[in-house]
Amino acid sequence: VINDNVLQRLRLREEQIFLALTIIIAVIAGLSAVLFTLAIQGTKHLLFGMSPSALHLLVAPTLVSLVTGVLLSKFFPEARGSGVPQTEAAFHLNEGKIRPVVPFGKFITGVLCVGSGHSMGREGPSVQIGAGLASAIGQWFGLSPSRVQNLVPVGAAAALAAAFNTPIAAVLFALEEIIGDMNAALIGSAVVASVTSVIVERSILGDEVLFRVPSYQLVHPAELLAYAFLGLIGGLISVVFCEALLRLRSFFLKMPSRTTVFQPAIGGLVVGGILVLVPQVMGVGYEYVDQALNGGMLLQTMLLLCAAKLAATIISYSSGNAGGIFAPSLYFGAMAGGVVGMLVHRLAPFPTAAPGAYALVGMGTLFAGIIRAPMTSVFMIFELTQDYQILVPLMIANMLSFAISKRFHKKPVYHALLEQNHVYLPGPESRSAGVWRAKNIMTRQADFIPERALIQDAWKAIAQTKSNTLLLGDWNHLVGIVTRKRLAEAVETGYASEPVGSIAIRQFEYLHADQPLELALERFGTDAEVLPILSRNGNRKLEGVITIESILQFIHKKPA
Amino acid sequence: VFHIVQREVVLLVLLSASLIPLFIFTRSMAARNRSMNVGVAKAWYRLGQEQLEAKNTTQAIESFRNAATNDHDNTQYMLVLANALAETNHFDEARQILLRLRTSEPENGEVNLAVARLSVEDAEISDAIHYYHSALFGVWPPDQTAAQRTKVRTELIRFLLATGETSQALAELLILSSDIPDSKTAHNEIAQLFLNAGDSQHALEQFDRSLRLNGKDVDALNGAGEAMFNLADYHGARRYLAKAVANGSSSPEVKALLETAGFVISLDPLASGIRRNERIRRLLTDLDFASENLQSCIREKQGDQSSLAVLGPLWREMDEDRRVQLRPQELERDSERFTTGLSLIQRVQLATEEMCGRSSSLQRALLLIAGKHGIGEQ
Repeated sequence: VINDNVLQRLRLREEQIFLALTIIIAVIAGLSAVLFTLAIQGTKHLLFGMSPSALHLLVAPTLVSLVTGVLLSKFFPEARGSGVPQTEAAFHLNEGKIRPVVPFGKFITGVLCVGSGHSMGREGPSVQIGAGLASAIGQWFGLSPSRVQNLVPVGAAAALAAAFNTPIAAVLFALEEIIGDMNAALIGSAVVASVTSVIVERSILGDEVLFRVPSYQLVHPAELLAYAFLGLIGGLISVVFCEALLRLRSFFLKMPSRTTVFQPAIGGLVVGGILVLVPQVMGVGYEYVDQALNGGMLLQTMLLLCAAKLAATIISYSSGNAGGIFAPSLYFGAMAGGVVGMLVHRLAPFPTAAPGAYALVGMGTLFAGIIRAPMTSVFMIFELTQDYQILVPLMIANMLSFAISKRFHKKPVYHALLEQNHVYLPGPESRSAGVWRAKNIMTRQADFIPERALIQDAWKAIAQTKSNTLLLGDWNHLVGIVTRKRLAEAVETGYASEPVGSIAIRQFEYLHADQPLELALERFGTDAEVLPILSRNGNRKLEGVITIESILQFIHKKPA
Repeated sequence: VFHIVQREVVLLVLLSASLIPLFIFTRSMAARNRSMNVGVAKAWYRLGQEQLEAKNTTQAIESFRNAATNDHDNTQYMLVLANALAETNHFDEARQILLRLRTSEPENGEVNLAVARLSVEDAEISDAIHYYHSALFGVWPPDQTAAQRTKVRTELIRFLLATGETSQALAELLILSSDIPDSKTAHNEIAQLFLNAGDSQHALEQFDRSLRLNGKDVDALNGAGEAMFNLADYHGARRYLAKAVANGSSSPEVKALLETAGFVISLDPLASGIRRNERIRRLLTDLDFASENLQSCIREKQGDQSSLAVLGPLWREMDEDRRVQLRPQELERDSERFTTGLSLIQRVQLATEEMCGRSSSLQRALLLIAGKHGIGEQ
C-alpha cells in the first residue's frame, strides 16, 4: 500500500512537466530535422541520380508537384510555403495550437517538393515540423494553453538548431522571429532545447559542417566601405525578391480556387525549365554556396546563379509548394557577396580579402534583408566562422540591408505572406504589458446593412438609429462602411436607387482587439464615428466596434 | 497504473521510451544515407579520374567536387580536387581546401606535400620549405613511407637548388645519400643533384657506385666525367667521357667537355712529365691560339672605341712579349716566363670572351690551363 502523501509528493507540477517536455521535444525535433534532411537527400538521389537528363529535370518537379498539389490543397493546406509564418500565426493567434497532422503533412510535402528540385529550403519546414510536434505533444499532455503556446518556439528552436547546426542562432531566431521579443522569458527553454537538439544531431551525423568556411580577415580598414556597398546591394536584392515573391503569390491567389490543386505543378514546370538551363539552382543548393565561399566560381557564374535562384525560388514558393526561403536567401547572399567581392578585389585601390569573405558576409546580409532577423543573421554567420573579426563588417552590411529592405517594405516578408491569407500578426505594441487594449473598449452593438441594399433603404435604416455610420456586410465579413453624410449626399444628388456598396468606404481604418487604447483613440473618427475591430485570423472578420458611446462607457467604468 | 501514478508521468515515460527506437531508426537512416553518399562519391571519383586521364581537367574538377560533396570525410577526394584545381591555376580554392585539410590532419604527408607545392607556385620559399619538412616527417601509408620520403626530399632539394639555397640543398642531399636504395637510377639521380649543387666529389662517389652496378651506364659515365672535369682531373674526365661516347652518348655537351679535356691535357705547358722543348712548343702554340683569337676579336670590334681601348693594349703587349720575353730562347733560360705567358693568355681570353662573347672548347681549355696552375689567383 502506497501512502497517499508519497504519491502526492511524486506528482509533478506543470512547470516540471514543461521542463521534461522541453528536453523530449528537443530530441524529437532534432531527430525530425535530421530525418527531414536525409529524406530530402534520398528523394533527390532517387529522382535524379548522378547526371539527370534535361527531360528528367523538366518532368520530375512537375509530376511530383501534381501529387503535392493534391496533398497541399486537400489534406494539409497549412503546409504550403515556408512554415515559419504559419508557426508565428499559431503562436500569436491560436494559443500555439497546431493540428497534429500538420507536421506529418509538412514532412511529406516538404520532402517531395525540395527533393524533386524545387528551389526551396529545408529550415522553414523543419521549424514548422518541430513547432507542430511540440504543440501536438503539449495538447496531448493536456497542458494549459499558455504552456502549449510556449512549447511552440521551443520546438522551433530545436528543429532549426538541428537543421542548420547553429544553436545560438536558432535560439535567437525563435526569440526574434517566432516570439518577436528578444527579452522573452522563454529564452532558457529555447537554449536547453537548442543545445539538446544539436547534441542529438551531432551524435547522428557527426561534426559534419554545412559549409567549409574560409578563414576570415579584414585586410584593410577601407574594406568596410566595400561591405557597406554589399549591404546596399543586399538590401536592394532583398526588396526585389520580396516584391516579386508577394506579387506573383498574389497573382496565384487570385486565380480561381479550382486551379489551386494544379498551381504547384505550374511552378514545377517553370522551375523544371530553369533547371534544364541552370541545374545548380536545384533544391537547397548548399554545395554551390560552399563553392562560392571557397572562391571556386567565376563572376559570371555567380551572377547567373544569383538571378536564376531568385527566379526559381519566387516561382517555387509563390505557386504554393512546400519549402522555405531561409536557404535560398543564403544562396543569393553568397552569390551576390561573391560578385561584389570579385569586383572589389579587381577594382579597389586598396588590398582586399578574397571574394569568399564577401560571399560569407553576403549570406548574412541577404538573410537580414529578406527574413528581417538581423541579430539572428549576425550570430548565424559568427557561429559558422567562429571568428570575431567578421562581426563589424557583418553588422555594417546587415544593418544597411535591413534598413533598405524596411524602407521599401514596411512589413517583413513572413508577415506580408500571412496578410495575403488575411492573417495579421500583432506588432510589438500589442505585446507591451500593462496597457488597456481595444478589446476593453469595443462593443458588439453595430448596425449592419447588406452590400446590395439600395441607398434609399440605407438612408431609412440610419434614420432609425442613433449612429451616424452603417456597416456593410455581417460579423463574418465586413465589406465596408457608409456614413450618414455620404448617404445624405447620395440621396440629394439623385442616387437613392443605387446600391449602397457604390458609395461605401472599402479601405477604412480598423484595429485588432489586442492593440492598445492609444492607437484606438488615434484612429477613431478618421473615416467614421465607428472604428471596426477585425480578427487577426480571418478575412475581415468583425470582432466588435468602438463607438463614442463605448469609449464613454469605458471611461465611466475604468478603475482609477 | 493510471490510478496509482499521475497520467502525465506515464505519458512522459512512454514518450521517453519511444525516443530510443526513433533514435535508432534515425541513426540507421543516416548510416544508409551515408553509405549511399559514399557510393555516389566513389562513382564521381572514378569518373573524375577517367576525365583526368583524358586531359579533361575542368570536367574532372566538377566530378571531384561532387565526390568531395558526397563524402566530406574523404581526404583523398579533397586532395585530388585541390591538385586538379592547382593544375588549372585555381590556386585560391586549392589553397582553401588544402589548408582546411591540413587543419584537420596536420600530420598528413600527402596534404603537406600538396600545400608545399602550392607555396612553391606562390614563391613563398620559407612556407614551402616548412611544408616540405612537414611532409617529410608526416604520416604516409606504411608501405610507402620510405619511398615517399625519398621522393619528397628529392623534390625539396630540387626546389632549394632552383631558389639558390645551395647549402640547405647540400645538407638535405647528404641525408638523402645515406638513405637511398642501392640502385643505378637512385645513385644517378642523387649524383646529378650533387653535381647541380656544386659538390662534384660526392657526385663522383655516387656515379662510381652506379658504375659499379653497371659499368656501361652512359648517364653515370657522363656524370662521372663531368664531376672529374669539375675536380680538374682532366685525365680521369677524358677517360670517363671517352667511354661514354664509346657507349653511345651523343650529347653535344659531353663531346664538348671531352674535347676541352683533351685540349687541357695536350696544351698544358706546365704539365708534369714532359720535356722543356715540349713545354716551349705548347706555350707557343697556346700563344698563337690566343693571338689569333685576339686578332679576330679586334677585327670584329673595328669602330667600337671602348672595346678597342681594352683590346688594343693587349694586342700591343702580346706582340711585344712574343718578340722579347716569350721567345723560345728566353723561355729556355727562365722558367718563370711560362707563368708570364700563361697570365697573358688568360687576360687575352677573358677580354675576348667579354668583348666578343665566344668561347670555344679551345678557349675554355686555355683558361682552364691557367686556372689549373693558379694563374690569376696571385
